[in-house]
Formats: sequence, structure tokens, C-alpha cells
Amino acid sequence: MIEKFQQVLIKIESVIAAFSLFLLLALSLFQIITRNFFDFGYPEIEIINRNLLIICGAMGAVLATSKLRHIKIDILTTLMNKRQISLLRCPLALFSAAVCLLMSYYAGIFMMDEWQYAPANERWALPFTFIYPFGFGLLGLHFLLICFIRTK
Amino acid sequence: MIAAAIILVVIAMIGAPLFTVLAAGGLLASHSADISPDILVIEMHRLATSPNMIAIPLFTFAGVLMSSGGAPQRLVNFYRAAFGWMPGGLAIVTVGSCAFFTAYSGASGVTILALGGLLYPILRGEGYKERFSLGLLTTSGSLGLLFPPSLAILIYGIVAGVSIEKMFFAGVVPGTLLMIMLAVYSMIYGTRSHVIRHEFEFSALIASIKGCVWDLFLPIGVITGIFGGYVSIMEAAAATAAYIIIVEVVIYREINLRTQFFGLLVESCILFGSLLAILLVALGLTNLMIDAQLPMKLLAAIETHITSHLEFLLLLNLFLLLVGAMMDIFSALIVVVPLILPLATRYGIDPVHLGIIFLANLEIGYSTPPVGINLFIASQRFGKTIVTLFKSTLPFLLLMLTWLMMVTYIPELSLWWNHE
Repeated sequence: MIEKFQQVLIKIESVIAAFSLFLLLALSLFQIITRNFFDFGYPEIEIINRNLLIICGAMGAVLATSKLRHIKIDILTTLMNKRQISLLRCPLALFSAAVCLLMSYYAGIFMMDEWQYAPANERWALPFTFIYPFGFGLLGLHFLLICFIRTK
Repeated sequence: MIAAAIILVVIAMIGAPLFTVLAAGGLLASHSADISPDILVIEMHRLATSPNMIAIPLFTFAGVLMSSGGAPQRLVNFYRAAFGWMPGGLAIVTVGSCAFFTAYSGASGVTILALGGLLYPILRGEGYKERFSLGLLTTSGSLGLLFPPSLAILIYGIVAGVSIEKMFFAGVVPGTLLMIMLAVYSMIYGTRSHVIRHEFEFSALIASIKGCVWDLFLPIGVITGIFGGYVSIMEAAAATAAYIIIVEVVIYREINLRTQFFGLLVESCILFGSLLAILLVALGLTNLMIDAQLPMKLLAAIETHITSHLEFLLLLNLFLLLVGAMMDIFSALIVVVPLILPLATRYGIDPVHLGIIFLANLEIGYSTPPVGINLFIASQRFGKTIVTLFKSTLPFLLLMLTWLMMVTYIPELSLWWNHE
């Protein structure tokens, strides 16, 4: 059940990640063409691109969690056997989950501040800031799932 | 606070994702400084929305497309036809094609995976000894880090607040110098070991150029575009990714749009996401350290022992070699650069030159135990032990250390273009 839930999550996250990156590329190319050949550009596209970058990065980080592909400095694990490493997996995942959920909480405070103090002309881009608490929340959830699922 | 920092270091060493350890450090540091931890998220947002950041996912995507298509084979064919006739020609082919490939793929070890498997049997078949072949391929896995559009240079530029165009300029001569040194060593080795030499065939060279002409246009376009001031870094990244899509999907048809494209987009996001996570949380933490005057305290401690520019550079090299051997290049750049930059400026070191020194040290660290990533990837790829690989890389590492001294103590190699 939990494994199925994780698989569904990974599929949805993969689609969002791929779509964000593709859109980022397409909009960047559109800006290059309009700026260089038609002497105009849309400043809104710059803002959308910066937020797409955060979305594809956040989804990429979430996918890296479920595929155990985050960057590590695991020097001491070279001295351990497979059993010792697998014993460490759950406590480390719980530590990471706790940190990510805390970050999600503080990101929520940041988001609310942004909503409160943003100037009127930038308000349209504010929904994008939801990616911070949402992204950290998802990271926390994936670390919890790692603890529950025996990864081969 | 010190006890908490030690515990976090241990947690990192036993395998917790680095970004969670850095985020925990940031939360602790903000707590002890009585600052609300949402400052970390504000710093993250500031960095994530900086203009040059967009270049990172786009260049990452370009690198992923290139390594999944037929570029490695086409490049080897070209370099072989161009340099295979020289003494040690195939070793020079290895140096050239690995440097070209790494500049785009970002030295994530993918060079060893993509080109190592291709070149190792050819090197052995032409009479190069196992030790030389393994050492060459392992160290070549990080060659090209100093050439545009290297991701490591992009990240240094963003973190240090240095012009990325200037960094690209600065890397060209040191990067070329290292390639020449490795090529000369390979020529001497090739002559002494009597490895097979091929006749130069003009028709084969023309055929190989025809086979990879679209790949060869790429560095010309990127270098002319950026150095000529025609495109910004972000535009160069978008154009490079679009160009490689056309080359691999439409011209060579090595990548299938329906079956492979989605997976490659996801793979690029994973690579970028794991990097972004560290980049964002580390800068929050290091900014807190800067607010706590840590670099100034470090400077005060160092100034009592180190008085000259040269002594500082020597200490810096020793420190960075150690960092390079312990940490992945991207995390090392993000965590260490903001702490060292104020000290280096105090000792009169140009931030652009400092960037080249950083990257040169970390490039060597890639092949140095205990966690030199090239050693691990080569160990997996060639089925050899880390010890065998380290022994194989030793002559190359000595050569690279000589190069490092030159790059460090002759700043003109990096700053020849700067007449200010």
C-alpha cells in the first residue's frame, strides 16, 4: 500500500519536474527570439522562469530522495558492512524528515510574510512561493516513506 | 554549539544527505544567534531567483542529452583521426575527448562512465599498460572543469558573486596547460612503451569531421557567443540545450523523442535538484556564519601565523586539497567559498584567480582518497579496487600537483586578459 502510494507520488512528481524543465527551456528560447529578432520581451516570463527553476529543482530534489541519489559525504560508511549501513538507514531518514518538516514550517512563515508585504504589482507571482513549504513537506514525506519501505 | 556541530559532522559522515545536515546546521546557527530561522528561506529565495541560476538546469539538461546520445563515440572517432598518429596518440585522444565532454557534462563522473568504457579496451588493445590506462581514464574524468560552460565555474561565479564571463576567460589557459602537460607525458610514455602508432589518413580525418561536424560547432558557438558578448550565460545555456536536442533528435537520431526524452528531462531535474538543495541551504548557513563574523575570526587567527601572500596560498592549497578529498566539488564550492573569499581578498588574491585555484584543487581532489568520486566511479566501471586505481593515478596526480603550483603562483596564467 505504502509502496504503491510512493510510486504514484514519484509519477506525479516526475511529470511536474519534466514539464517545468521543458517549459523553462521553451520560455527561455522564446525570450531569446523575441529579444534578439523582434526587440521586445516579456518581463513576466523572467519571473515565471525563475519560479519554474525552483519547481523543477524542488521536484528533482524530491525524486533524488526517493531514488536515494542525494549528495553525501559518507566517508565512514566505507568502513561499515551492508548490515550496519542498512541499520542506519531509518534513523538517518527520520533525522532528514525532521529537518525537512521544520524547514517546511519556516518556509510557510516566509510564504505568509511574502503574501502580507509584497507590492501590488508582484502579487500575481506569489502563488509560486507555495513551492517552498510544499517542496520541503514532500521531501520530509519521502524520507518518512524510506523509513517504512525496505529499499532494495 | 560545538558539540552540536560535531554531531552534525558525524551524521554527515555516516551517510545523511548533505543538504539535510547543512539545513540542520542553519537551523541551529539561527537559533543560537537568536534570529528567526525563516531567514534561511529568505536567503534561499534570493539565491534561487538570481538571474544566472537558470543556466544551471539548462546546461545540466544539455550534458544529460549529450551523454545519452552518440556524442561520446563521434568525439572519440574525430580525436582518433586527428591525433591517433602521434606517439601516445590514443592517450592524447583520451585527454582531448574527456576534456571536451566534461565541460558539458559537469564532471559528475559521467565522463568515466560514457567514455571510459569506450576507451579502456581500445587503450589496452593498442598496448597501453593497465596501470597507465586506468590512471589516465580516472584522472581524465574531471578534465575540462575549467572550460566553458563548466557547471563548477557557474557555481563558483554565483556563490562568490564574480562575473561568470571573467571566470570562463580565466579558466582557458590553465585548462589548456593541464591538457598539454598530460599530452606531453602521454607522448613520452607512448614512445618509451612502443605502443601501436597509426598512419595519418587525411580521408579518415575528413570522414570523422563529417561525422561530428554538428558537435564541433557547439564549443565554437558557446565560446564565440559568451566571449564575444553576443549572448548572456542564460541565453547560451538555453541555446546549447536546444541545439543538442536538434543534433541528437533530428540530425543524428540518437535520442528518441517518444521513448527517451521524458526520462532525460526527469534525470536532468534529479541532478539539478540534488545540487540545488545543497546550494540553497548551504548559502543560508554560510551567510549566518558570515553574520557571526566567522571569516574575520579565522582571519585574526591566521594573521598571527601567516604574514605573506605566498604562505597563505600554500596553506590554502593544502586546505583545499584536503577539502577536495573529503567533499564533492559542488558542496565544497558552496560551503567553503564564502568563508575563504574574505580571507583571500585580505591577502590580495583576485577573486577570479581564487576561483581557478579552488577548481584546480578540487579537480585533483576528484581522484584522491578517501572520497574522490572518480576513484569510486572508475572502480565500479572497470571492476578494480580503489587501491589499484589510486596507485594508477599517482603519476598523473604528481603531474597535476605541479600544474596546481603553476596555476597558484603564476596568477598571470588566469588573469592574462585583465589589464585593470
